[in-house]
This record gives sequence, C-alpha cells and structure tokens, in this order.
Amino acid sequence: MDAKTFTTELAGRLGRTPQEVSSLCRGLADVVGETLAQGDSLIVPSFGSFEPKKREEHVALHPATGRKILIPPKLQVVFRPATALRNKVRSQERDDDEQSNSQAR
Amino acid sequence: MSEKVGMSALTAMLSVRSGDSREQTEGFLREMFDMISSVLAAGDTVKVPGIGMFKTIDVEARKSVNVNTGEETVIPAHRKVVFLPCKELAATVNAPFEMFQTMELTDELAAEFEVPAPAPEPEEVELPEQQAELQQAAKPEQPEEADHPELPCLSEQSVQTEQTEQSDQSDQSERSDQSDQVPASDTSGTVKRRFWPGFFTGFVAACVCALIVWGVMVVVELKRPDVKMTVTEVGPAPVDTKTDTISSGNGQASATAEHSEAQQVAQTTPEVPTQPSDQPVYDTISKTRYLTTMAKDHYGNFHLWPYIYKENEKILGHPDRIKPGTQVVIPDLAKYGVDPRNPKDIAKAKQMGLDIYARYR
Repeated sequence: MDAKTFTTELAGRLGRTPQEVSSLCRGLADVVGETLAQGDSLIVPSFGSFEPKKREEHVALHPATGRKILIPPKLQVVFRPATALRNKVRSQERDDDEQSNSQAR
Repeated sequence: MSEKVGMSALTAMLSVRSGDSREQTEGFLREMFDMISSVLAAGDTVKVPGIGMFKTIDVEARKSVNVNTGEETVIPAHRKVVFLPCKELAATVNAPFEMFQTMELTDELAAEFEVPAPAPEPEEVELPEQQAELQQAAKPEQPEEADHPELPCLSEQSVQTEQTEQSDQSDQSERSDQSDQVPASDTSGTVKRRFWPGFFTGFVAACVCALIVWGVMVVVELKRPDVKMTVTEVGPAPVDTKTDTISSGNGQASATAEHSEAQQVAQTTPEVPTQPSDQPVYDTISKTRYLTTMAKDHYGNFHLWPYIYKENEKILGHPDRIKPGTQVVIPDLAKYGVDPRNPKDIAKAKQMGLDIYARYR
C-alpha cells in the first residue's frame, strides 16, 4: 500500500479529508524525527517501539571490488514490533501456509 | 536523552503542532497504528509518508538451542515485521554523524587501523601555527613602537613569516621523513612490522617534545626586547631547513605552497591584535581548518559554527564543500546574543546546523 492510498483510506476511516490527514502525517513525521534525533525512543502500545541505535564504525569488504572499506558510525532507527503485532503477523503466516498448501493439493 | 516517549507525550506534541484537540489527535494516532497493524496482518506492505515502510517477510525454520536446558529446538518458519525508515527520517536521526563517509582503506591504512593508531598527525602539524597566532594575539601593542615608529612592526612581521615558514618546513621535513619510513618498513617484511608501531610512537613522541621545546624557545625569543637580535638569530635558520627539504626531495612545490600559506597567515593574523571588537575578524578555510575548527578556536565550542556560517551565508554553499582559501568573517557572538557557556544556546546552534544541512538535502 503506497503513501497515497494509505492517506486516503485513513481519511475515509477518520471521516476527514486526505489533505488534513497528510498534513497530520507530516506533523507526526516531524515529531517522530525530533524525538528520535534527541536520542529518545518512542513507544506505541500494542504496535511497537522506535528507537535510535548507534552502529559502530567497522572495516568491511566492498561487495563489488573486494577491497577493504571503512564503514563510518551511524545512527539508525530500529523498530521493534510489540508482542501483539508480532503474534498477529505470525499467526497470519500459518493461515497463509495452510491456504497455499491446500491450494497446492 | 534516551528517555521513553509514550503515547500520551506523542499525542501532546502532535496536538500542539497540528492545532487539533488531544482527543482528535489520539483518535488519529490510534486509527493510524490500527490500520498499519491490520494491513501488516494481512501480509501487505504499508508506506507511511515521512516515517517509512512497514512490511512483512518470511523467516525460514531454523535450529536453535535452548539456553537454559541446552536442548536443540527448531524455530518454526514464520513471518515477521520489518521497518525501513524513509530517507528523511533516517537523515534526521543520523544528522550528528552526517559528515562521515565510507572510505576505502589502503593496505598501510588497514594495518594502522588494526594496530591502535598513535597520536594523530594533523594536531601536531597545526600546533606551531596556532602558537604563533596565539602569541600575536597575546601581544596587542609592541612596546618598541614609540622608539621605532615603523621599523619594528615590519621586522616583527618578517620574523613572524620566517618563523611560521620555518615551522611549516620543519613539519614538512618531518612528514617526509615519516613517509620515507613507511615504505621502508613495508619492504623489510612482516617481522620488522611488528616492531614498527612502538618505534612510530617513540618517533611521534620525540617530534612532539621537539616541537614543544621549539615553541618555548620561540616564546622566549619573541619576548626579548631586542627585536633586531632575533632577526639576526632567526635569519640564517630558514636557509638550513630549506636545504633540508630539498635534500629530502619531497615536494619543493609543497614547500612553496606552505610558504605562500605562511605569507597568508602573516597577512591575515596581524589584523587580529590591533583591532577592537567591533571590527570584523577574518579567518581562512583550509584543508585542516573548517568552520568547526574556527568556532572551537574563536568561541571555544565547535557546535557554534552555524553562526559563522550565518554571517557568511552569501558566499558559502554546502557547509561541507567550502573551497579551501575562502575567507570568512568571524562574527562577535554578542551580535547574536549567544553565550558559549549556555547549553540552551549550544542546543540552538545545533538545531541551526541541522537546518543548514536540511537546505542542501
């Protein structure tokens, strides 16, 4: 689902215009960016948490040339799904598997 | 720093920003995350504008060991959620490390990287120049000026140029020495290389000691009332060092380049002591001198570089791509009402820095 369908569908659910929803999304993106840039982590109950994590600098091999390169340190956003979301997705997989299996048979 | 921001705080921040009521904002957030969850549960991917993409991927079954019992278990195949932050968010979070780039390592560099590197060279190189500058700044008015109206100033300047030149050249010769040694140790094989780091640290320590002794001598010599003596004493020295650099054969051109740089230093630095605070202070960008270095030198905190940038906004483009040799005005911090000891102002300056980078994204 791309960004446009996402906003229009969310707007439909909320009963607001897609413009309003997209501006809200932009505001949310700013807030999330600021929070994470300060080094704070963001926790959304029954969805998951976003936290900034530092990746240390390290030496690696260039995949194409095979030469040694130095990867600089980096701050990355890491998302950890909450247990509720994880289970939802996980259980979905089983159903899918059974369906696909039964279809194959 | 490293606090946990929950749903209520997020709602508060967003409602302030959007101007909606808290209930509305909370409804929006809840509906949004519900929707993402349900789409993910259906096995679809979601792109949330400004945040990133959530998708699910299949994980194959794999063997694992129960840590407590040591039993072998099989983790069954399942599906899990993956989040890819969008470029904007990733860049905002990574802003403190933005200046770093991936670089390729040559063999020598790689060897150095595995052995903990000794004291970094560039600091040492800058040392004499900075000392010279500091000395000049420390002495606002020459006492001899009353006796010899014109001459002492000139001789002082020439002494300064000669000395900075001399220091540059001595650095140059040191550097060429070192660069000579690197290949030598390379050819002498791996057995010698093991002893090389110890020798290198010793060499660097010796260099540092020599530089400090030389700096003290310069201070003593400059503080002597008789300027002419110092001229005669210092005069022959550069000839020696020049022949040294030529005999060492490493880049006479670079020596001349250093010479011109030294001249530039001599041209720009004398302005510093004589001017009162309301006249502009200038500084020149070089390969080892950036806005941050200047901010550290002039204000005592490198985070304040955005103020220098702001002052020179018209001539500067991307803050990481300023041409060496660009002359910038160093503004008085009082002009912007900034106190370098105030953490709030530092935070503000950091934000300004982010804004500046955001412009060139």
